[in-house]
Amino acid sequence: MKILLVEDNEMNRDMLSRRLERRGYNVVLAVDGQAGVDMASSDAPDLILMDMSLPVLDGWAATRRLKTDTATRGIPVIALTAHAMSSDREKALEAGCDDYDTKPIDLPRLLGKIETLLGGGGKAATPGPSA
Amino acid sequence: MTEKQLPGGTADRHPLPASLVHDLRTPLGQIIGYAELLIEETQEEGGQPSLTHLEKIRAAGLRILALIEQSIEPVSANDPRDEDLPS
Repeated sequence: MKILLVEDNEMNRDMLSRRLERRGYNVVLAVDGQAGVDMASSDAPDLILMDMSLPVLDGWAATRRLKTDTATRGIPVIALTAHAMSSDREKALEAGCDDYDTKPIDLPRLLGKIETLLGGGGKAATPGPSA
Repeated sequence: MTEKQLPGGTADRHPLPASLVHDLRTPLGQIIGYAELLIEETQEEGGQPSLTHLEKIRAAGLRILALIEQSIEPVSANDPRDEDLPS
């Protein structure tokens, strides 16, 4: 399963992508919202993890674009943000995000949401370290 | 003793600005995430913790410390509740 992680913070990208790769996911990375929209089309991920505070195009605008494009609207999007206000969740869902989670990441909780959105078939076939 | 009387009880707490909370949660998440990654690696591989990972944990911790020092000192200096506290 391929996950597109859209995150501008280098350490967050590195840390989360490693943890997902250790569980067998193929992770591709975008560093801003526009790159995320472009890679959603070019790389056809199974799911997108979208930081919301992004340069060039923020996560809300990027998600709206993804959800209005027939080629990408079916890709589940999970919003990730360090803001913990309930209004942030509503704002993310209104933009078209399929789910929402907060930072710091609770990995078991996030993995549960990923697997739910991937229909239960998203769990890596061979969990474990990836080299 | 009621919660109001307890040091650090909710009655003594003052909400932090949302921007500060955001700025603190980001490096805190990195500290927690890399620490968990190290734990996973140590548990599964039995190897020594990576020096690179440890350096990232240290850098994120120092960033939190700098943020806290920058944020708390001006507030304390202007907080009338601190006027009677011994220096």
